[in-house]
Amino acid sequence: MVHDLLSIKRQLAGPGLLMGVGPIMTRISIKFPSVRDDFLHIYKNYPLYDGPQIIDYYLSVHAKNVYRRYLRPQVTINTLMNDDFVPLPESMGLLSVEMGMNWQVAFGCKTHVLFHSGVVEKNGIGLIIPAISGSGKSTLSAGLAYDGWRFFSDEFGMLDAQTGDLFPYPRPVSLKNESIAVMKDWLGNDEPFSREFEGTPKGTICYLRPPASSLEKMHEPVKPRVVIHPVYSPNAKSDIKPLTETMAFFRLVRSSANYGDIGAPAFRALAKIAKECVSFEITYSSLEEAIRLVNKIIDENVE
Amino acid sequence: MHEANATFNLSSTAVFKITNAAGFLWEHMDDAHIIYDTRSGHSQALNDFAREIFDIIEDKPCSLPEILAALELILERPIEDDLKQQILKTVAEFDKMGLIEPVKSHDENV
Repeated sequence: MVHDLLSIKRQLAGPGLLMGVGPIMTRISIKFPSVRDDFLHIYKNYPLYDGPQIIDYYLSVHAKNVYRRYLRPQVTINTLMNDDFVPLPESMGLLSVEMGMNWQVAFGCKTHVLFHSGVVEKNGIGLIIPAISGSGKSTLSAGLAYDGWRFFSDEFGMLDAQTGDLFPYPRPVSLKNESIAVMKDWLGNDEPFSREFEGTPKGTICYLRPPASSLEKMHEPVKPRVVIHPVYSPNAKSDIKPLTETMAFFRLVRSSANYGDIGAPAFRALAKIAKECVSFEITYSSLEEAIRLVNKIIDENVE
Repeated sequence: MHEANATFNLSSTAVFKITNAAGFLWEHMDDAHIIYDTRSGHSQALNDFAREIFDIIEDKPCSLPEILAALELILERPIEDDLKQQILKTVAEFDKMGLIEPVKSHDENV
């Protein structure tokens, strides 16, 4: 394990730093000092490695040429996959890093069934929160993580199709627009947050580091027991709606990024979740209300 | 109109068989049967009645009149026009999903 900050910065600036997040090992190289600082702040406490390791992905963050390093500096990334990302201004470099890592997992991961979902755990109960962008899954996942649940992910549920275990992939939470203030109020402490990145295509983005206790247990899987599909609507009346097994199954299929690639084992694994887990849709208008609904579902449906 | 009639008549004379039974996986849910086609990676939900029709064709390749006759035996009553239309629609959907295919005769290889 690497601990010395100077050594970490040298590796990050040079051949690349080996960082493990859950089952994924990535070698990351960042040529811009300001982006390195953003990266090291938000990835503080993540396990770093040296020596021989099986590396899943390589990510290089650099300028396209020497001019773009200093003249209107722009960050370009290379994921060593079939990418063609638009360069971003240096000030938004951390977005490029996160975008590249998301891309690598979303299109490269064939070892686990991936859900576009948040995942958290408490008392051995794995909770999957599948949802489309804008439904509040990141805010809900982060809110639960800072309310006693163990954080697995706000973006990628990772399921081992053979064992049926969910694996943590606790990358920083990507908060957007109004949810940034909601989570800053929720924590009452700005330290785990990144800078706010304004003017992105999705508005203002800010990253939140998961709780240290979740990072310490990033290699401990859990069995899924509950699936909750959140629907955020600012003026809606709170509601809990149970889903049939068939509805639960097809919603999981729809949320999976690699169901078709993994094939029959993914079919069996998702059917098992649909049959063995309780599945609900909740409609809510505030984080407090969403957490109350989640706890109500757990209390009333899970032994 | 002529084309539609021709298609219908052709369907009436065709014998339908399951395309690749060995390549289908099934899961029974609380309110439907899910079929997964390993060739395409697609999943479809069938209710109990659609599953019954599928099972009839799976037992042995059969024509539309034979499917209707088999269902009349199961239901123990003649099939009314509305239900008949639903059955024809279900068979057409199976064909569209690639679960069955029309062949010329009861010999599965023809």
